[in-house]
Amino acid sequence: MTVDLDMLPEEAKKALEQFKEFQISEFNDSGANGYVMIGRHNVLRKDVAIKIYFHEENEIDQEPAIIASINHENILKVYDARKVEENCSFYMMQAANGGDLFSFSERFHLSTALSHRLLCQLLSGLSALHCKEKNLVHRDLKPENLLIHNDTIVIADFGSVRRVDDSTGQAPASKHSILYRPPESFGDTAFFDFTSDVYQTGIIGYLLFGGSLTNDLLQHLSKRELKDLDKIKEAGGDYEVSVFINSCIEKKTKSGKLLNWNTIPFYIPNKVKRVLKTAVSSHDKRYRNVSEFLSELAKVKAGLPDWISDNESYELRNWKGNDYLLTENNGSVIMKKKRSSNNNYRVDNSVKAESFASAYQILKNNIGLP
Amino acid sequence: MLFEKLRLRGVFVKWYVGCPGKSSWQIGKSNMVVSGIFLKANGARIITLTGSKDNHSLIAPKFNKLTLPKNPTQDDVEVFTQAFKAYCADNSVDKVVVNRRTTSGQGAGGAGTFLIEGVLLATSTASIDFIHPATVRATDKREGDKKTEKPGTVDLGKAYDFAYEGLS
Repeated sequence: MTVDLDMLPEEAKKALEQFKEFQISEFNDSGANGYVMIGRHNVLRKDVAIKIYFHEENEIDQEPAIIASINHENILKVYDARKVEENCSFYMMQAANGGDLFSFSERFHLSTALSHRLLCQLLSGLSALHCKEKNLVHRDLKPENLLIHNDTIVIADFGSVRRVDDSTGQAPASKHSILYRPPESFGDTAFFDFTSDVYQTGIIGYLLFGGSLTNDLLQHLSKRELKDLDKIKEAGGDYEVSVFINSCIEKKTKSGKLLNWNTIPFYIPNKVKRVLKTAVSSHDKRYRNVSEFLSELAKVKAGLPDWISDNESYELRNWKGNDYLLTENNGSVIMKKKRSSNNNYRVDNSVKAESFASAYQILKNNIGLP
Repeated sequence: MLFEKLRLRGVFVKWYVGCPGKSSWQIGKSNMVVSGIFLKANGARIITLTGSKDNHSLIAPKFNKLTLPKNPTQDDVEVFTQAFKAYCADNSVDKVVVNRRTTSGQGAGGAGTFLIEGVLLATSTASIDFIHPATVRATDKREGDKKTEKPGTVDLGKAYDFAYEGLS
């Protein structure tokens, strides 16, 4: 992809002037507070990204300093940081070849094993932020802020990171990304702590294992709320509309009804759902830290079937040496089977059903799935 | 020995001479955090203590078991490692004390404990000490009454014994 340099914003042009070694190939201005340029560093001979961001005058933002202080394979690496103007800086970081988790999951079907691995990696990276020496909370964990590089998750976007107060164990609440905000981040006594990051990670786990959560806020409103919204639109302005939508999302979050667990595919074992549900439950019932969450995930890893689906067929890979494929044939669902080491599937008549869910139940009983 | 004391012009000067497995911030820390791990079959029972032998308390009592499945895959080992490292980071564990495996005879350890021991040795960010069960028995005779926080279950009790040995 070629980028027209003349079309770039002034700040991006100035950053490029400072970095003659950088050869731009992609420009992204979808971020809320800046731009990202992806390209090649000709001296380092590797793909890098430059993030340009805005901040208060005469104030160097904390973001690159935080990233540079942490050395963990699941935390973004920063190579350089400089100032462009009084209120604008940029830093150079590793480029992720898989893009962000949101686009990655749109482009690829994720297997159960990969989803589990990515979730564990995310928690592992978080532990580096939460450790006693750092005492930091991320506060804005969402698929758009997580990068995928060589099938490994990398935590990015540290603009919302805050230090937790030693005495209270809390940090101020963040108002970013309302869908991912935990219940305790709303109201007059709003706060964020380590379990708030656990909550956001739980939502990411829900998405990784196939749960559905649309970014279109209006779709989260009930019919009655939509009617009320129409009345507000007639009477008030954009601000009132946005306040009303936020209050509806807040209500759903606090009542624990934001996530629809029925959207999780039928092949995800209940023990995995239980772990995720605990992670996104109310503040006092949640895992207290990432290690508790990780130890539960380690427990459910044993005997976790490795399913992958493209919505037209469902494949179970390497279950006791065999691969199974549920697919549609002439209006009914049939099963094909092969040894994991072989290439060709053969039809197995032991499973035949009207739907994928009922075919799965038969298969589950036949081969003893959890 | 971490420091050598030198007397220069009547004043003691401390020289840091290094200690494998420890970073400089850990040295001189008053309240060490010690994890005791009892390896049995394909699991690790974990108890973490802070304080001293005379006065100590339990940390993170909810997290007390980590298992590595039989015939583990790379993924299994990775998850085990991540969980253990996150536990050490969350609780600022300074030292890990593990039971010394018997390599021969009737009570010889199996493949599961052997694998877990290898994973811990290869990945632990905290220093690892091995304690022989005979040392624990000797401590029980000498100062068993100081073990006030000992859990009721046998395996966790053993993990507690190892953590206790690591306290100063």
